Amino acid sequence: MINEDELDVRKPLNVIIEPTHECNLSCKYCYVDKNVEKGRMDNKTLENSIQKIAIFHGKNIKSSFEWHGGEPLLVGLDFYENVIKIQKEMGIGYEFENSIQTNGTLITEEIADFFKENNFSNPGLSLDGPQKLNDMTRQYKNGRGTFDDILKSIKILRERGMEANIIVTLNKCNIKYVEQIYQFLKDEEINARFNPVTISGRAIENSQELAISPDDYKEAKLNLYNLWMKDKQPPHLLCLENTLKNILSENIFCDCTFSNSCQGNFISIDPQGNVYPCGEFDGNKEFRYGNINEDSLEIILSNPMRKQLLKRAESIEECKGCDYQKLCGGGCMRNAYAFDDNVFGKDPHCSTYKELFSSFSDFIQIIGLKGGKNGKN
Amino acid sequence: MEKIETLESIPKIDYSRIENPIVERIFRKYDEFSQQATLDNVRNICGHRAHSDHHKSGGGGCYLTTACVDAMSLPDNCLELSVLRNFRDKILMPTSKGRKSVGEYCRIAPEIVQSVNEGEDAQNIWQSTYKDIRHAVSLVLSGNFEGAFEHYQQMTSKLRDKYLD
Repeated sequence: MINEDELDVRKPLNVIIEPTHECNLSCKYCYVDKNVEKGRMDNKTLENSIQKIAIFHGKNIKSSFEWHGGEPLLVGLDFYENVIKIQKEMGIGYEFENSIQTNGTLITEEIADFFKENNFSNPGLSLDGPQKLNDMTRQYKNGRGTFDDILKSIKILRERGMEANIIVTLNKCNIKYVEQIYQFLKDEEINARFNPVTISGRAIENSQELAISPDDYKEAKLNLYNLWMKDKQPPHLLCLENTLKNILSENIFCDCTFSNSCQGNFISIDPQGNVYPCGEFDGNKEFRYGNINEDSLEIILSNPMRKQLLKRAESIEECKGCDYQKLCGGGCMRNAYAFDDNVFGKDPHCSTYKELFSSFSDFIQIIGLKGGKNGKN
Repeated sequence: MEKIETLESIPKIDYSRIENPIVERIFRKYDEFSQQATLDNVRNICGHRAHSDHHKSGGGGCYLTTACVDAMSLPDNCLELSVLRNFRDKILMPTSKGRKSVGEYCRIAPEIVQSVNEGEDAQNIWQSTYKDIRHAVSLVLSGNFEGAFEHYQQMTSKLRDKYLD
C-alpha cells in the first residue's frame, strides 16, 4: 500500500493528454519527433486516464485535463463528446476542468460551440506574430501558411465570448521583430505568452535556421517587459502577468516553469497510455513512468525517475545561493534537457528569469510594497 | 477592548506610478486579497455547517477563529475570518498536506471549543487566543504562508493539550 504523502503530489494533478501525435501542419520547430508512433487514443485508454485520475483525487477536488498533441482536434469532435460523457458518468461530486492546446487551424463553429457549452477554458492556440513572420515557420504540409486560418478561428471563438490564448514561439525567424509582434497583438487584442524555441524532435534538422541563444531570448523578453510595463493600452502578456503574480504570491500562483518541480502536479499521457513527465518527453523511454492501462496511478507516480525529478530544483548546484531560487525553482527541466541533454542541469534561460524577477521586484518596491514582496528569498 | 487595526501590516501601494492597467488590476487584486479577502469562495470544507453556538452565518470550519472573533464582538465578515478562510481554501486545500491538516483540525477544533466554553473563563481564553489569530492573519497578509500555517497549528496544539488531554 503506497502512502499518498510518499507520492508527493503537491496540488491536484494537471494532466496533459495527447489523443494523437499526428498533425495537419509541418511546423519547422515542432518538438514532436517525426518518427513518433501514429494512431489515435482508443476508448479504453481514454476511460482509464479520466477514471484513474478522478478516483485518485476523489470527490470535490477538480481534475484538470489539457488536451494536447500532435494536433488534438485531428481526432474529431466525437472524441471530446466522449470525454465529457465519461466525465459525467463518474457521478456527482467528481469535478473536471478541460482546456485544449491546438494549432488553431481546425476550429469550426461547431467545435467552438462545444467548447462553450462544456466550459472549456479559453483555448491555447499557436501563432508566431503577423502573417509574414507566422507563415515562415507555421505551415501546412504543402508549405502554405496558417495565419489566415488561425485568425479565422480566433474570430469564431470571440463570436462566442471566448478568447484565444496564443503561444508565440520565439525563434531565429521572428526574435528580432518582437516590437512588431507586440504591436500586432495589441492591434488585434490577442492574449499571448512568449516561449523560446527548444531544439528537439523535428526542430533538430532545422536548428541552424531556428535556434536562438539565451542572450537573444533575454533581450527579447526584456524588450517586451519594457514595452508592456509602460503601455497604457497593453495586450495581455500572460507570461509577464504570471511572473508578477508568482512574485506577489511567493510562488503559490505560478506556471509549470517556476513550480519548483512541475512534477509535483503535472503528468502527460500519450495516445498509447504511456505516462511521461510532460508531453515533450514522449517516446523517451528513460522518462517513461508507466502505462495508464497497465499500472495503477500510485505505481506510476512512484516511478524512481519522477522521484528524482521532484528533487531537481534543490539539486542544481548553480542555483544554490541564488536570490530567486524559491521563485524560480530551477526553471524548466525540458529546456535544460534540450540544451545539453541534462535534465538536472539549470535552465539555459536562467539569466532571462533573473532579469525579469529583478525588474519586477524593483518595480514592486518603487510603488511602495517593500519587505516580503521584494521577490527574493 | 483592544482596537482592531489589522491592516497596519500591509504597505500602501502607490497606484499613480503604475502605467499599465493590467498590472494595476493585478496589484488591486493582490490588495483585495490582502485586505479584504472576499467570502465568495468560502466552502464548507468539513461537509457540515459549523456549530450554531459559535458561528453566525455558516463560516464552515474556522472554529477557533470564530470563537475568538465572537469573544471580541467582531462580525462574521471581519478581516480575520475572511483572510483565514481564504487561506484555508486557496492555499491549504489544494495540497495533500494542507487537506490533512484541515481534516484533523475539523476533527478536534469543535471539541476544543466545547471544552473551553464549558469552563468559567471562556471569554478570557478566547480573547487571549485572539492575539494568536491576529498574528496568523498578519503572517498570511505578509505572504508568509508557511509561517501562518505553523503558527495556527501551534496555537491549535496548545489549546488541544490544555483543554482536551
